[in-house]
Amino acid sequence: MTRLSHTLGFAGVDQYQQIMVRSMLTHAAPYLKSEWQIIESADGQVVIFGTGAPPNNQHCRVPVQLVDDANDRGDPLQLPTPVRLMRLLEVLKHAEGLLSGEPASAPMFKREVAAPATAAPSPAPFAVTGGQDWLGLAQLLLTARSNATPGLLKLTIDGAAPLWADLKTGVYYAPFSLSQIAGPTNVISFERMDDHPERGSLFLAPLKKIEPLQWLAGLRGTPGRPAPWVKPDVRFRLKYWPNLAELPHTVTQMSIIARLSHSAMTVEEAARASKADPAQVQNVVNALTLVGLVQEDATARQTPSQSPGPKSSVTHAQPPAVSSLLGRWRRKLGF
Amino acid sequence: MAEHVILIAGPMGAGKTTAIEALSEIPVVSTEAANTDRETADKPTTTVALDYGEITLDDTDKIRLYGVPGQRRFDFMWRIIEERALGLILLVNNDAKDPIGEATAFVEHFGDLVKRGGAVICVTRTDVVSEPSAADYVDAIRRTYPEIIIPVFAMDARDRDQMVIALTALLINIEAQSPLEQDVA
Repeated sequence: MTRLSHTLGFAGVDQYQQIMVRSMLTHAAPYLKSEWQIIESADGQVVIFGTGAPPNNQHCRVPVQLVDDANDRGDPLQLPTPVRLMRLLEVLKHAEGLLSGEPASAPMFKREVAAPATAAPSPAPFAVTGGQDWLGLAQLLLTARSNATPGLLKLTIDGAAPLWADLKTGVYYAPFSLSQIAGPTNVISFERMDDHPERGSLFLAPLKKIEPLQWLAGLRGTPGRPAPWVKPDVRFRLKYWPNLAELPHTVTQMSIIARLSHSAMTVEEAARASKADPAQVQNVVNALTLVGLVQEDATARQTPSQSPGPKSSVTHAQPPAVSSLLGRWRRKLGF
Repeated sequence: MAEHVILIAGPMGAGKTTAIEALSEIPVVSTEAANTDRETADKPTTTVALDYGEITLDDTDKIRLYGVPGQRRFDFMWRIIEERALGLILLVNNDAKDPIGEATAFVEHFGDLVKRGGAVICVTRTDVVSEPSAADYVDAIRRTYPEIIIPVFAMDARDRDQMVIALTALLINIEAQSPLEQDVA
């Protein structure tokens, strides 16, 4: 059994550039369908070839038939220098599309041409109804998540160096930690653009998934009120826990999430169950909805005429031993 | 003195001992022996009986952290600790041969504990291998336990702050789960 492969070659690459390409390949790997390997030769020639195997599939090694560029499907792929991560990623995705017979997932590489100094960013293909605030940002992120359209987001918070996000692949780079963003009073501004002349260099640093940014925008978009994308008086059930190792969060927010993971609840019900302020619960529901981690419970839509809560008496009967254990744990850690 | 036992389990090489070292306030009591299975986990030693660490809450309460060996031939140790345990922190290394299979096997083995208490899955080495995702783990476990949504976090077992998040989520999850159990009863 063999698999077709695509080779990408580029010449005149010094040792430093070879190291760069190897590093870029590591960063690009999570966004590719198959495993790509690099072969370096002493004469400055670098060849990258796709094995056609799923990434990280260490148990499915099969001989790979290298396809010579000259007799391939007429699409020899050549990487010019300087190589940048996003360019490399685009070319590899394009090659994967050729191998699978699918339409190319990205346009073929074109030599970079500096944008005219007067060129303005392309307008967003969808309307952003909010202003230059957290709500506007949340709406933009929601639309981008729904459409998965290509685009870049440049976000500036309190005049600091900008955060850059790739809206299609759902990753961002920020020269600061989102947990350093103090509160909802931040002055933010953002713009969406189709591309940027320095796109490649913007994403050379380690990238993070965009969920923490969605979470933050969702929490702060409409404080204490249902966000425009959230139906009021509906019960919500958690689908997946957010990765709390990456999200700025409080223990109260964690407690709300835990309640929603065990049963579908309205905001009011979750507030009673977690002994939290309903406004806080609403913010968490807004954020979880924006990230896509909750679902409406179709079987239990609440109307004003219906009973106010589920059968379970979640506001009562907390086992004192467990409850006090958590309380003492929180006291010990000071939160 | 009240004792609250937290079980730390997972396949060999997932970072159980490291996680306990990150959380424990005492030097971890460890029973390491030379690792004769370098193919499964390329490390010089492995746990053969128990790792033990503890966190003192106050004069009367301690959280006791028990790490059990990952190899199935030691699963008699799992049962001993499981009976006393309040909850489970399951560590799975994402670069294992079959991390989803490993996770679901452990969740099924500790099914009673998962149902009566709580569980948190900490996926380690996601910086080495990014897939499967947290959602993949949840979906796989949901096939066995449709009603249980286990928290799955990408974690660095060496990072105390991250392990504190995991332990806090576990305690909160146990607290959130308990009233529902009473309703069922």
